[in-house]
Amino acid sequence: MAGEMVSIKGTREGLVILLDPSREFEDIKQYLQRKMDSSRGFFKGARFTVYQGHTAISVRQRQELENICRQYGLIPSPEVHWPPRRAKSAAPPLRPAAAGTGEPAGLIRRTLRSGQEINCRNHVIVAGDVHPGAVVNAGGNIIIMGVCAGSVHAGTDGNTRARIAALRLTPVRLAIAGVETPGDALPSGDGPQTASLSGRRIILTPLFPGQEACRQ
Amino acid sequence: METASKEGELALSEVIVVTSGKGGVGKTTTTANLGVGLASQGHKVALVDADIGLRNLDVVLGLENRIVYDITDVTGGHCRLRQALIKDKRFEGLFLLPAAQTKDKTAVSPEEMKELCGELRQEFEFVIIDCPAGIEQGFRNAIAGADRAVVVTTPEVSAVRDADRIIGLLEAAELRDPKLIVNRLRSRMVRQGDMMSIEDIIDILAIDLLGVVPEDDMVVISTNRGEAVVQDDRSRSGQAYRNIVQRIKGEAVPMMNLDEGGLMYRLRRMIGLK
Repeated sequence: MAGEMVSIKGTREGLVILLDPSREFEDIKQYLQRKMDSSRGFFKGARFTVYQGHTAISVRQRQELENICRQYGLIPSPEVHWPPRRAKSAAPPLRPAAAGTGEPAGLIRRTLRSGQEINCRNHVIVAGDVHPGAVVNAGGNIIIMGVCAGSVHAGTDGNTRARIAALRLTPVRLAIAGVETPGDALPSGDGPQTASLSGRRIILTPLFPGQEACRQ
Repeated sequence: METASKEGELALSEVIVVTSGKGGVGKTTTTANLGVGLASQGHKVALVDADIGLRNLDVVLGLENRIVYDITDVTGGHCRLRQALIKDKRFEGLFLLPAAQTKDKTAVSPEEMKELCGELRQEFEFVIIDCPAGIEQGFRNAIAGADRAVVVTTPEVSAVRDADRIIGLLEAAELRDPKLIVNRLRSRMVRQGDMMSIEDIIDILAIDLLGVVPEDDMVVISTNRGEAVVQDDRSRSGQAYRNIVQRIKGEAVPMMNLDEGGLMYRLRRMIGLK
């Protein structure tokens, strides 16, 4: 990205604001502010999206960036994609599902390491592990095709039917629709498991039929 | 192994950053040993101390009283790179670019580091950068010009957790497939279940192992003398570092048996079979 902390690219759908993953969030924020300031009015009315790529920023930080753009008359839009019209993006924001049945889901094709965070309004599928110190927050279900040892929260928008499944479930935090698992009741990883909500309690069931019953 | 011809070196030269996240796990010791190990085999090696403000690679190498210029003098244009490079006393091809002691990490930018590494690449087969602890500007500077990364950790939960974070940041910075060195392993404690085993660590971090260095008093003893343990033919940590050096050069070397203090090991040592 030629040393630019923030670069603005135009696509058919609107503007894409690209962030340099090697920079601190505060630097990026200041830079964006200055950039918007210097082009006051130019971007007014344009639809845009913040593409974070591999940048580790939280939902709140993302909103801060969006708010800066809003002040200058830009309109955030999930319809804007990066890379443009290519079905490759491995990180959120997510593309809508292909035509047909099913619901949109984000596919993370890597292991999430300590300090990395995925925030997504849809379902999330992680093809890899979620390490301690990594965070996954999803509006829908979370399916981890590996070890889940991080912090996971499904149904963040209040979806009480959301589930969390992993081949080995040993999270440091597990929550569904705002209901937290008490520390002493966190699953200890007895084979593939699914966590779901029963009333105000999180229950664990084996992921596969025929698998030995696990502690609840 | 002889020094390759000038033309041959350019294509082969590699910039390797030694990093860890957590402090005190042995980045500087590792950097020094890799440098000395490679130089003792006739390679041309530059060691760069990127820990600006807390320099110590010079002390470990026993070159502290030779410093005239430092890395910030080079990036600031106060001297030429050649003037700041300190030639090692013992090894023909080993040079050190020391850190500044009176400035802080912001004295150098990632762009300047990239340029510096590019310049060093012209002269040296291996450029090894000693990264400071932490994930801030010093870290970003140190990795800016690197082709490869070596992550050092000790068998402790805190160090492994930090290594995990660092690996994530390295991947985000397009430094793919970092290699792992596990330092200060005590195999007796591992056997008793009091220390994380190599398998545990690899299980958590899921990256390739470059080598395991056993806990060894000789590391402290030689460091205090301004020597590198890799020169010590009899020490086990020295052997571990020599193996790592071979692996850095792309050779397949089997992992050494870490059962220190075992009866067979001691017997064999006594009769001179090492």
